[in-house]
Amino acid sequence: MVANSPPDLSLTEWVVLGLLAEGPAHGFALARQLRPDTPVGRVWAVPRPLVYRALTRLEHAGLVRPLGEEASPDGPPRSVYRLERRGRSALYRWLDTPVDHLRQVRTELLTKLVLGERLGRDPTRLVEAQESIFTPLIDALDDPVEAGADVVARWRSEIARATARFLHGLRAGVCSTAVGVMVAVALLAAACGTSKETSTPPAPTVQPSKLQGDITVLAAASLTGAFTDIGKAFEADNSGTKVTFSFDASSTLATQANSGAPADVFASADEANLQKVINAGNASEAAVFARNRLAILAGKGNPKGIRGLKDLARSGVSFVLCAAPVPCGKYGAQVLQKAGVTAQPKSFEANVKGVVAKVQTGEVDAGIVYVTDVKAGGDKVEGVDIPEADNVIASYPLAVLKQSGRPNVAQAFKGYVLSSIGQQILASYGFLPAT
Amino acid sequence: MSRERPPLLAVAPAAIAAAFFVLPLAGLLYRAPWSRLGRDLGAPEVRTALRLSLVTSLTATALALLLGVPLAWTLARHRFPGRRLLRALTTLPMVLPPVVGGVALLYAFGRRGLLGQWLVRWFGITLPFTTTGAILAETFVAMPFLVITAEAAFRTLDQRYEDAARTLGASRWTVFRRVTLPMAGPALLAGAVLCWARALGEFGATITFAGNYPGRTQTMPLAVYLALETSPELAVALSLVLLVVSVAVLVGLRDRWLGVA
Repeated sequence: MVANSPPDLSLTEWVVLGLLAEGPAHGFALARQLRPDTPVGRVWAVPRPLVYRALTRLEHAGLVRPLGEEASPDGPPRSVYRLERRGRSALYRWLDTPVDHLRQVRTELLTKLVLGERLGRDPTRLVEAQESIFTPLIDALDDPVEAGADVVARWRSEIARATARFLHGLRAGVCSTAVGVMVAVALLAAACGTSKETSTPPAPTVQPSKLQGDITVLAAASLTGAFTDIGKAFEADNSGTKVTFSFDASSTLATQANSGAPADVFASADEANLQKVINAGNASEAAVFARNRLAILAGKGNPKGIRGLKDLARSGVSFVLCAAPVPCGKYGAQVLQKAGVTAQPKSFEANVKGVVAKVQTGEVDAGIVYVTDVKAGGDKVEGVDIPEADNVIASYPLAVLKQSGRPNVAQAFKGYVLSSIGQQILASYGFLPAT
Repeated sequence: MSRERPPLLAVAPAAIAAAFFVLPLAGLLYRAPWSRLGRDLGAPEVRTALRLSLVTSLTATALALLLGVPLAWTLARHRFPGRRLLRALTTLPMVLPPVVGGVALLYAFGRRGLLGQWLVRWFGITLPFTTTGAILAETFVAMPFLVITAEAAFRTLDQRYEDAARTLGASRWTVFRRVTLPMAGPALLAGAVLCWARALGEFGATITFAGNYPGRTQTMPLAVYLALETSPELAVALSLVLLVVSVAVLVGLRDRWLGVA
């Protein structure tokens, strides 16, 4: 294998890889970003089936990998994909590699410029390399008007000169990159006779990453899966950062945060526990980033035939709850009260994972947990819905802690959780959106 | 005991070690809510947890004496294949994280466990979430402390006393009861107290195997852990109780052990 040459991928595959470099996404979302009327799509539009095919090929090539599945309101579950380290380095090499032919300017070169800009990369290297390839080519062209050449030669010549001006402009920084690319799009779209775009807003640019340092995030036990993924995606998008998690009951974490635990961010499964930390002056500016509902967790196949909360009170049915100070315990008691069930649990577990473990091992028939834990519990358990009227909605807020040693990284992580990438990962674990 | 001045080289690390043990206790005392201590400790949930802790830890110790002393004696006095492995296995709970011990107990004695499923089927007995379960968890974690102390004692005993008793016509049982046990007595007592102290402080295996239910399986350490989340002052008060009881016992034990009255 030649380490320095980019893998042999089609332009479509490179475009999909480039979009994944902005953060994990599922095929449907990628296809939406590649429709003809979008910032990337107007340079290289890709129909949805081809996006899926590209994802499959990229996965086989080991450049991306699926993070997990997300339920979809209609149709099969969607896989969220994420860029592998190899994928990123291959992409960056490709982005710096010039094209060989003038006819690739409209397609490949422009795509590289647009994707590179979205990733906050400096185009100088690519532009200089491109000029060194094209200059001799352009110099060799005759003046078509003098030579009385045919229409194709005239077109070629005009495009070559326009390209030379375009590259020169980019390199000299006469105009900002963004404007340069806009001009090029309009110019080349006109030159090539394709449809004109006039009302497209400028592409949102991703600021180059300047974040450095390690942060520790205290997060509710129910966030274990989702936050682990968000942390990985955050690290991949901000090389130079590292996110470490401590997952436990929110109440335990609140106590730790208030005892000056060296942590940077606190994500709680309820507002009360974050409020304790805010009241103690150790955090401010909480933002709700997800919501969750409760469900009954039963063993595989639901051997006791539990259909609702009332069944927990049946003789011969045993169940456990979280302890009262823990959010899931507080919520659990609330739903039982709403449903008018007075049955006593076998035990009050220290956190929600304790409840899941007791059901998984078959020590009890049921437990009251979050909907997301049913999903995370695997194939040894199954969920039983709690009707809307009896259910409670748990709000998950997070805040940067005052004692944070890296407030800018912590703030960026908070923003990342609230961003569409973070929200997509949370949704893939069954969390409800914050609003 | 030497009356000389101890060398400075030993004093400095010793002082650090002492401070290392004393400081956390001082921290606990410093944060103790003295003004409300009486009220906190008189609360019914606290008394329930304390009573349960005393009952379970003492029962666990009795169980450990009943089963552990014969085990220690066997390990010390008899050669049989697999003895070294057995010795290693009996001390395993000392190094195993208690939570792992709790999970292992679930897989053995739980409703679906190796033995547990038959207990349920034949006798209708379930151990998790019961006081018996809490006692079992404490015994599992604490018994090794008794076994290794007792085994060391049996091994170092001068066997000639026992031989003499045998030549004078004493039966095996009489020798064990009248000669071996009295000679090993102080060590057994020390082991039993260590075992009891460990059982009193047991947390991980108990919460994993027996769960947490007030009056049934919520022992003092579990109450402390959960109180820490709602009322840290109460947690400190509860910890003080455990501390006072443990220190009192350990101080008494240490004097006895060293033979200094």
